Amino acid sequence: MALRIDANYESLSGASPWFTLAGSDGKPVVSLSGASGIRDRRSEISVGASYYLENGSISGNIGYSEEDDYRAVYAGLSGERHFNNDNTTLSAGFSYSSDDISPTDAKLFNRVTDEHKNSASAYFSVNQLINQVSSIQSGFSITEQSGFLSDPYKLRDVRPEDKTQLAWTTSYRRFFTTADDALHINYRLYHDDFGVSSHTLDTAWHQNIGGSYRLIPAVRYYSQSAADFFTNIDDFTQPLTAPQSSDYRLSAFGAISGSISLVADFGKWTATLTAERYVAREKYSAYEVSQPSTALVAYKRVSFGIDYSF
Amino acid sequence: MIIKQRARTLAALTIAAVAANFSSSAWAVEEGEMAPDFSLPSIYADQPAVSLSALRGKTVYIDFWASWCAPCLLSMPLYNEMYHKYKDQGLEIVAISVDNPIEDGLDFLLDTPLDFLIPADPDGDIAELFEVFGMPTSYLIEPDGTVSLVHVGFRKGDIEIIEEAIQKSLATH
Amino acid sequence: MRILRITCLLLLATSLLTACTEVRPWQRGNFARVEMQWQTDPLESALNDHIFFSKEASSGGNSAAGGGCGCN
Repeated sequence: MALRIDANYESLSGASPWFTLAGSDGKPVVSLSGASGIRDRRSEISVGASYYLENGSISGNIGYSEEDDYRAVYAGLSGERHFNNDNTTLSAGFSYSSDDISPTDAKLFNRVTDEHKNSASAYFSVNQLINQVSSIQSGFSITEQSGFLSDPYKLRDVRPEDKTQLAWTTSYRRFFTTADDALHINYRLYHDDFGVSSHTLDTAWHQNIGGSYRLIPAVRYYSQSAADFFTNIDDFTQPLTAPQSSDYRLSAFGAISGSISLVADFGKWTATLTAERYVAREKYSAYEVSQPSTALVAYKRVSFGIDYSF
Repeated sequence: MIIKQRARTLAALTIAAVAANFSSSAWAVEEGEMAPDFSLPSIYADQPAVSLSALRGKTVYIDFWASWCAPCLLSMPLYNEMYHKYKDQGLEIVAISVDNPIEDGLDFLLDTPLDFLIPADPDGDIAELFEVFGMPTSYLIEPDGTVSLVHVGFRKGDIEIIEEAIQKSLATH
Repeated sequence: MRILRITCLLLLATSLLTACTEVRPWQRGNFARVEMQWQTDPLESALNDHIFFSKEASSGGNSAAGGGCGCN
């Protein structure tokens, strides 16, 4: 039996695209809301428990997450069972989340005031040891969302009220004894009924340096196709019920990111310093881009974390 | 739809991987059987080899452990206490390290000095001989060489079960 | 696109062809290492997921979806 409590707080800031218009040259122009940009704070608390059986375990968790404009309550249940003298592990799980959306400055910008969304998700995965130094894991997940799935901050963002997401993920780990490092490769194939398909391939190299440091360079490639209703120029002549969105996240694009982490492990204390660069471009896309979005992002991130385990 | 078809093919491949079953042998050392004899070098370069037949006539507690096995590390200091409590009554503890490289095991022993016998089995030959089916696994061997207890895993409270079996063995011989 | 598909199939094929050898209980030292875990740093992975989720349309993976977040 094991009990786990997690508390998390994060703060992000940036500007959010509000609507897009055709500029004088016919190319789309993005209007940003609020010159000062937005701030986003999120706090989350979750409690989980695991019960260990002879050949497996059962785990459950419940959690609550809150932002200025968003609240979510969620719960999950999962189990795993070992086979083949512990060389194979099957896992399955189910989770449910109930979310409330209440956009800030709703009156000022004529936004929706109180919306709701539910998601239910199930997964199944297989984990197999290949030999003494490598293992592979493959899993499939399905998520059903219903309710308000649009972006409340955009002037014209209308999305269907139901969404089914499928993801198939394969992960591989290989340890190199002489070099004292581990190779990680993860691949995800994704499809949803908004019409978005995607590939995500990421690989990381965990190099041990001495007994207590690890250097982890990693690269990631991501590409998605556009949602069926994506438009790079908001069409205000369409009826309000017709799905359309100029959200760049629903456009076809590709993104390449690279990061490097340094982990210092001092027994109970672990410190992690990460620097990351992410660039999304139309030309990196593995899918055909019929309507490029002008709002694709690029960012740099530096994060520092300290963990203490009891 | 292409995506769906691909997903199906992959699901089939995944199942094929799982179906590649292993033959689990039934030759594990069990309670009531004679313990197989072995001889292993000590983990310490300056100490003599350890052989089970040389310990005949004593109650021997054999434990397979490794520095990467969290429950094993929990059990070691407790075994050291138990060793000091019963060594004068004829108890011998043989904690076989399966660490590979053996330096990993020595690193742990540097921080946690232990006074009983610690042979090294980096290639797992003796673990294979005993058909160890979990980490840690321990065997209580009576003075006549028969196995009277096989214990897999180590949780809080297990030390009492083990101590009781040891007391019983020491009392009857 | 095609390259990705091939890479992914190769990955799977190699792993199946290398035919799994049974890893015995005393041989699992490498899998106990932190750098060999499926998630080496759950907090870091959660932050990454959160960031990618707020920038991309895809979500979901090996475990059931966690807590909702207003970022998509």
